[in-house]
Amino acid sequence: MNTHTRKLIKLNAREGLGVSIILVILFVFLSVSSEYFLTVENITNLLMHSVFVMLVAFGVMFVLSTGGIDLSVGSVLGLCGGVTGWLMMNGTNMWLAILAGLLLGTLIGAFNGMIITRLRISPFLATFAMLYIARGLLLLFTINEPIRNFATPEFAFLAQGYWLGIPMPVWIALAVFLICYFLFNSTSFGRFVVAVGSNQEAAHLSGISTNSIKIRVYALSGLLAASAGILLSSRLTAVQPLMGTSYELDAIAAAVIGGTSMFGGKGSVTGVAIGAIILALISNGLDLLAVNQFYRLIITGLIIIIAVGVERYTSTRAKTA
Amino acid sequence: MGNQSPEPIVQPDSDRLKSLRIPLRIDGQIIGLIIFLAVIMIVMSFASEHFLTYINLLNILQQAAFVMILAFGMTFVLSTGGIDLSVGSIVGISGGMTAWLLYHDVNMVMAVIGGMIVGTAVGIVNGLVITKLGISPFIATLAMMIIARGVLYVWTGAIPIREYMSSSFTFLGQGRILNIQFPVIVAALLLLILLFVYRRMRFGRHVLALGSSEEAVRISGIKVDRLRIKVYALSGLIAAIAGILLASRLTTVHPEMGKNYELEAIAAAIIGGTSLAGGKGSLVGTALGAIILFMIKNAMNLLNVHPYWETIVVGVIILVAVTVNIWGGSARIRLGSRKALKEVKQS
Repeated sequence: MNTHTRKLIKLNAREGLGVSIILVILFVFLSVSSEYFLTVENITNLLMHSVFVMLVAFGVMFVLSTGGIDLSVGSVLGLCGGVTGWLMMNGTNMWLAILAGLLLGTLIGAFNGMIITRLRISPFLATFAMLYIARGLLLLFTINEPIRNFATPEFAFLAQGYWLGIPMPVWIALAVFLICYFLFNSTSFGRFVVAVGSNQEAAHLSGISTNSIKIRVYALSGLLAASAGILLSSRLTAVQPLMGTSYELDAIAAAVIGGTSMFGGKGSVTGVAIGAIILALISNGLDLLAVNQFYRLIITGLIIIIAVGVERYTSTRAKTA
Repeated sequence: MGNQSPEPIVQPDSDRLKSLRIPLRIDGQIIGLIIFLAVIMIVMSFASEHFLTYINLLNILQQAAFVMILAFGMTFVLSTGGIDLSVGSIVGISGGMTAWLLYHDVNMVMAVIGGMIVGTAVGIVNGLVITKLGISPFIATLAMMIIARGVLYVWTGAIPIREYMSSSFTFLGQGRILNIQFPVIVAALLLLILLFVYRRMRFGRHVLALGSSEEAVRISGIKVDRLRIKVYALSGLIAAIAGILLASRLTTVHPEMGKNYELEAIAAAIIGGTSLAGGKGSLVGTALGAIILFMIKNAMNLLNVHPYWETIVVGVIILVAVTVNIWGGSARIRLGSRKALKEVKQS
């Protein structure tokens, strides 16, 4: 019994190993090669940039852990940020507007889940269609006038303010991280998510309502995407119709770099956070080193491949050990 | 009892042989798509007098041809249970290669072959990363999508490639045979060739088998890794053909050329009844899917619908098409099982 638990702990410790190594290597490399990298200003800046993708990636991680996928998060992010901005532009109370944005995101996510479980359409397709639909709705929303001039000082404080010298979005991301960590590792919901992802039939037979778990997971993903959208609209103080385009790809990349399996049954909240920071670190580092912006795409792609490869290598080693 | 038992064994066997012999097997799904297409055409011919003209219908085919060609390759990849997100970038990079070679006065045939080699090579790299590094197709081709686009940017310095057109190269994208645009003819020819590959050649059968059960394919002694690499190479080659045609059609290669084409290609294949889980695909369905997609865009254009509606309509159509597919499929299974039950009862 004792040795068994010890083994479990070891396995867990190994899980985030690959990503942490890459993070440390990138960190050391950048602090040696650029004198501006290791300044408080730059590090807070970097964390700040990682927050938006990180929030979305937490939700995507839950979805991937059930063996599904959510491609609609980028569009949901844009739409919910847009709706919050639009409501505030028309004089709605800030908290009500935020609540409406979050509610809309949750509803869209739950709707995704309903389509997937009731109509039995594959998650890829259902959320792929929702990607188009939500983006189209935002485009229609902004058809007459762009959404801007809505940010009251309190609303702008959400993404631009500082508390104890640390930007508010970082605090928000930290809070969401803790909640997600608790939800994923210490509640029955989190365990059920992993169970559904590793063997849906077995989970169903042991009395887990797989459908309701799935609907809740997509709703959570929509909620987190909406929160990222609201933060982003506060940060940018205007909502472009194309806000959040291709965020789904960044979020999936962050989740997979962090050791989440695309086939379900395996995920890590810490890994996702590190994955999102790695993505931000790459873009920050390429900025500081003044790399030709056209090389960035190539380097980003290569690092994704290397990170996923390393993660897979270390996790299979951990399994056999 | 003993005398009756051989009969049901013989019958399905001859059925299967028949379905293999007919190259254009028509099933319920294809009929459903044709009905859908017919409904759009009838409604539109009443709604707009410009719709049902020879020129407009040819225009739709011409616009659909590029995505259709890409979607053929995508059908193969999806049939194995994989996905290829890099095709849009391959369109850009191989079209760019051909244009660049032409600009430097290389023979046109050599330039076209050069573009095709680039596309195939990118596809092979995709296959190698997926099989040898064990990275999931989604992530591997996503990274390749980013990398290939980046290479195109670095290579062109973000300046469009221009002034490479020669009269013979112009023909590829803009020429007509019997008043039909050349890209449409290429798409039709590719459909026939790939139908043969998909239905009649060992490669096509292996691809479908791989999508249904990788383990079974491996156990029957087929080299799974090599098969998978070939499929991604094929997808790259087909994307390169689309890219070269597009380079000729647009007369300039912008570094953004082909962006988001992968999404339209996936949408066309899915509307046509190809399963994302693998093991099921239809090239004729894919062709019809691409035509439906562009016919709807054309119809909305003619009806002066604001282009912002387009994304919503495309999303809804994907949902409707897939739901109909699934319900049609499960109804067929239910009917089949009822028939089987009857047979069991009778015997």
